[in-house]
Amino acid sequence: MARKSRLQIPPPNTRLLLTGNQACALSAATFGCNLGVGYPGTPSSEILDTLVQIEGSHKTQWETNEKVAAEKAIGASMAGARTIATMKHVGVNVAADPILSFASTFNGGFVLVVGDDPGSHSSQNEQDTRMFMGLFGNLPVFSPADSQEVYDYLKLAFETSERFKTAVVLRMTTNVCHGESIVVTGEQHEHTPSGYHDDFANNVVLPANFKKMRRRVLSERLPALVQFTETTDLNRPENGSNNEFGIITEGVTYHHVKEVVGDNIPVLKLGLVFPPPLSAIRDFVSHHPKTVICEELEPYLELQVKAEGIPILGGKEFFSREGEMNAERVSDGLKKAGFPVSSYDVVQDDVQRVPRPPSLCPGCPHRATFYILNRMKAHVFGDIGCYTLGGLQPLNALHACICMGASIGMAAGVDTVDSPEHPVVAVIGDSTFLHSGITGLLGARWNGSKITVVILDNGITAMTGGQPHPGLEKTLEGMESPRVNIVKLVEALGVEHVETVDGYQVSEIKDAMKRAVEHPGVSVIISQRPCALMPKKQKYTTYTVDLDTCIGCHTCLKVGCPSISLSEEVTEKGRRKSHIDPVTCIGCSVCAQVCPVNAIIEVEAKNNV
Amino acid sequence: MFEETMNIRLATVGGQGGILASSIIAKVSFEHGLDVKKREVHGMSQRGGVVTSDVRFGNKVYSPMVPRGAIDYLLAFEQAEALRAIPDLKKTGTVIINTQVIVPPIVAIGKASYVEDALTEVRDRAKQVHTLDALSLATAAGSPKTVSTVMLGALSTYLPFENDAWISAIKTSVPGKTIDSNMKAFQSGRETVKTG
Repeated sequence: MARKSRLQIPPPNTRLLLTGNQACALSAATFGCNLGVGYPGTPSSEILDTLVQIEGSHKTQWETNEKVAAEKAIGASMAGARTIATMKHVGVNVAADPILSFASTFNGGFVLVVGDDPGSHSSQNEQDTRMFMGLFGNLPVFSPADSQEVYDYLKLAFETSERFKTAVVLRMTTNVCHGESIVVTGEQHEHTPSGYHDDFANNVVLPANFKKMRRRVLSERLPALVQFTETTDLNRPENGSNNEFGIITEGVTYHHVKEVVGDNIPVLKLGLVFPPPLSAIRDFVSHHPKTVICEELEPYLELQVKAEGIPILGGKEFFSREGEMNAERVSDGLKKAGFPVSSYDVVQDDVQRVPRPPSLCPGCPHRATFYILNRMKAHVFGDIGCYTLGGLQPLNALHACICMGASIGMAAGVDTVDSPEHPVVAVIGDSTFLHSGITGLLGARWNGSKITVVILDNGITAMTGGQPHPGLEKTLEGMESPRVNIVKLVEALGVEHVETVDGYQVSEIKDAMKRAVEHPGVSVIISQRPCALMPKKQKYTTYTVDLDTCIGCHTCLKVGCPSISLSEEVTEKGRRKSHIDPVTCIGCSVCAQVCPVNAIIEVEAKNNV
Repeated sequence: MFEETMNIRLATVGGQGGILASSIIAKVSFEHGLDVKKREVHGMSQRGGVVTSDVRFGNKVYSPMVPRGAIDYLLAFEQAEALRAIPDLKKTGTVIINTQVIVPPIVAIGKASYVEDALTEVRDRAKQVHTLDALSLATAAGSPKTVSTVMLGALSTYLPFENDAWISAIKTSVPGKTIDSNMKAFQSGRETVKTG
């Protein structure tokens, strides 16, 4: 399949409306990025999804996980390329080993692009990459506030990386990644990699080399970066009419602050947040005796400013460490700090909010498996993906979930110290299994754990929008590539009991599960059936409820399909009969299989009656 | 004319096309030469959950999120979603509401209840409320999937942009073979307001 390049790099001074992720991709393509590599993760996924569509000589690749992606970018950097490694905040945990060691070396062109998720909209936690990669990793951190800044800062990040021979971080947040705003484009810049040359002293981080590098990082690179951050116009004071007060802010929080204070209160706006420009901050505070630091998530700037003994009014006393910042929270915090700002109307907020939790889609191939796991009363250790939703009502069949790839290790851990009455099961998706489940399964098999692992193979990375992975026959760029055979892979790990089932066949799954949990060692069931939505929407013969047959037992509702609801029809005993939405039903037949009276029939069959 | 930032919130359910609709509003205001910001939440909310988008435009827009109590136009694609968003409506704000009800599965299984008479509650809290049955209009236009375009049609009558700007933004945003039904849907949404 040919690479599907569609978008051209626009000429300079073109005005565009872009998400931060699109701006990042366009900036990478415009300013000489040779390799974009990453692992999907909300809110960062669309960066590479977009980059691959832009015409150019750059390569764009999804990798098996964030660690491999970072390693690949490190190699590209050692070959003199410009490269971005993209991932979400928790992906940085996975990639931290190579990045933090690479941080000691002196190589350029490497930009780690991270999407943090304040408010944990689509994540298991909130993490502040400024803390992790800046304060702890000693890497320069750029913190853009909107799409234009993403576009401009990535170019600067490449230049900074090359100038100071350091890995650099572009730290975005959900609002920046997914928010759309205006970008005016710049002049295109090609970058030709200088080529790879062995450099033992710089690229081998064995102790003797590391000690020398570390000394250079601390005595040369960091001081040079401090000099840079104190003088760059990315860190700039903005005048206000009331000089008694001042606000230090960064990232998208800057816009919430401006929303509230306009031009009334002076603002020190930071774009390069590691190293923070402490002299510039001291100078700003000296002119504005009542200065607060307003930042999302951790007191990252605040800690460093306070450690320096700069007399600020405060930070997290006024602005919470939790969740996403917005104009109201800024306004409330500033009022608390005694700032002369107007507050937003307190509104009458007594409305009933109907709960609308997300659920597995109609026709989701994971549904039947969770239905069976619920019936079996299994202790289910889950993983990261759409199937985490199997833990919600009414399936309730996922009882622990921590991070990518953790399900198998956790299940094995319980099995090692306890023998629960009900089976111990790990469920993991195909992409997550290939990301970091393989080693967990190998360990469980090696140490003789008696657990059952269900690999939910829907043939795609679904949760993040349908990205390919090595279980598919093509790469992100559309190159044909033989797919990994998960069955053979599992067998090669030494697992003796491996079965495949059709994700739509309830009794097949039930029987296979029964055999699997009786196996004395690790057993693996691979449930195969394509995702209902991706890469293309599936539509089979759809189903309908035969109201004459339905007894109103509501068994079908227990599969938790959004297409099934209660109709106005009632049985003689007054129980409401079921209804299937003909528009959203895709015909997976799971509800029909669990119906005890065969009241759910194919639409065609009904028409023939 | 655009000294004050205009704030629009789309309160929708995953799968209704709310994100595309918000992109079209942003595009129309962008083509008008205005500063524009838009935000939404992806991810878990796409799986049948709540999807909220904010579009703000004017001479200069700072925050991408509509602040508390500042919504000028609430474009609600579903009754309960209208109610969820209504506390953030400006005192002078307008609600355009699709009378469609989407009962979440959690209600169907009896673990939660749907709101009683959401429309009355919305009318109690907002001075200007325009209701329309966007699902029926969309179906009549050729596809129930054009609900979002019907809603845009209604909204377009309140905003200071040319009809052609809307039409061209929709044409460049929807799949080619759905242009006809989307055009009909847009027009029928407009007429719900024009004819009162």
